[in-house]
Amino acid sequence: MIINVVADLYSKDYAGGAELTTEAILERCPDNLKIERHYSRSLDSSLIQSKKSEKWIFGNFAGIEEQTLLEFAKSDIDYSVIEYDYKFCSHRSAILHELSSGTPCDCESKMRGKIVSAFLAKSRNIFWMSEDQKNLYHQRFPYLSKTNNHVLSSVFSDRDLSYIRELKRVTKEKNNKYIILGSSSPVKNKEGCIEFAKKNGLDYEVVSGLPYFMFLRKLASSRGLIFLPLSEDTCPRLVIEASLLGLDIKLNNLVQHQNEQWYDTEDSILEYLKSRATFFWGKINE
Amino acid sequence: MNNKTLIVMGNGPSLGDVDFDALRDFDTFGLNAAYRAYERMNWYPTYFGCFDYIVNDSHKEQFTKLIEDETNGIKKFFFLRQFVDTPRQQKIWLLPYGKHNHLPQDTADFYYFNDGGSSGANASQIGICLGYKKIILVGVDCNYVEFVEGSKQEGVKLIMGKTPEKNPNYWFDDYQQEGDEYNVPRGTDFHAPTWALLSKKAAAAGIDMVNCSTNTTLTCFRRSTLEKELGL
Repeated sequence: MIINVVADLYSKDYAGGAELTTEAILERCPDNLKIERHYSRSLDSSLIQSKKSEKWIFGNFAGIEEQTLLEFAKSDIDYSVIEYDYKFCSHRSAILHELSSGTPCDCESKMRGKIVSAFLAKSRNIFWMSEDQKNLYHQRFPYLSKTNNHVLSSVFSDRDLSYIRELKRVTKEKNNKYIILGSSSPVKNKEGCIEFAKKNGLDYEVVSGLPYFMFLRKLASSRGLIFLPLSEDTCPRLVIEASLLGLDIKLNNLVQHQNEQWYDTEDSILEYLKSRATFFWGKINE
Repeated sequence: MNNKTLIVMGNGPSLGDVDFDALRDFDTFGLNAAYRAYERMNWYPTYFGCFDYIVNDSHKEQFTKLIEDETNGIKKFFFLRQFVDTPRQQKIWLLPYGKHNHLPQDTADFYYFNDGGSSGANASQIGICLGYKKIILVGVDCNYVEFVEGSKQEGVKLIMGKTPEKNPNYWFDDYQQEGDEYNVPRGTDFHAPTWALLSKKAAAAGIDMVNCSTNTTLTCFRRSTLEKELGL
């Protein structure tokens, strides 16, 4: 059986959280399924029609034209969606919307919000990154609760889980520094994190530009992580990685997975993460 | 047993000069199709591995048998594919060659392993990750005939059309056998520079690498003899 996967980008294009989760899911695709990847920007009606009897999975779909989202919503095509953020909102975050425009987000009443919610409502499965994210969506679009909703969370490859575990095992000495992500994205709030460190007398290091595996090694050798995003972060991998590496973590309440049961101990996190790809494919195969 | 020293066994013709029985008390790392000789010699190394995707795939059945045979005494296998789900085998995830330039430092690096460019260089790097402070090279001749009689090129790989009667590249003539698939060796333009790079990185990390191959084109390592280095 062919599974058509659609995403704005894949991990070979950009190693962001959504792309890494999508890749980790696809790596664990059951042998009886064949993956065909498509970019959201290249989806058109003729492609959709030629594959309407096949299954579809959507990762980030910001690049898909609204007309195409409607085409899926109106069709009988079997499609599932992994919602990584808040694509009903023009800023992909209600908080960011308000910060940027100065007015509260009312995207649920705008055309974009209605089309995205219809696209989600007609899907076979919606996979969310956290309970809080799902609940925020359901508050704005109550009818989404009638769809098959699943909290998937971030998904890690076997390789990366093994790497993180081994890094924890072999790292004998930690320095006294708290890592701050040196991202140029304002929502990651580098300046706010630095201010927090200074105010609380924490030794810190701003890290950017390292390849993923080197960043994890840096994290492993550090005392802690300060991560205080300015908008909702649905299930940040960085925080999960720091937890698995045993760091002291300073978060604000916009990190949305932090109160979930699985995010309790290193063992419970690991056990949960190992199950996610299988969980996902189980739902797709139902 | 000297657990700080690892003998990495390239498969060049000079490995034929080595007295394998004398190595039984030392940690050794064997590579690629050398298992064919081990079976005949009833001698097996401490570690065994292969870091070439084409050779991994070409020998997958034999490698699987080798892992599953718990009587051969090999402590750990290192391959690019997960042939058997057992703690006896460690899969190595290679980073794209040339993209990074760090010397792997510990067992976590098995998951993001800087490709050393040759089997011997990768085995040496594995040894460094395992904590060995001294690496002795044998059979690292780096003196290849690029196209052995009987081989034919198909795309990027070579296929051995028939088992050669004489193979100038290896320490036993049927090292490569009919149907084997492998890469063009590229000894001079590829292997030699990668060894030179490793010699610098290892020296900077305080690793003593010494080439005890009796016949070698490499000049980047200190030269010595097995007898002297191991006190045989």
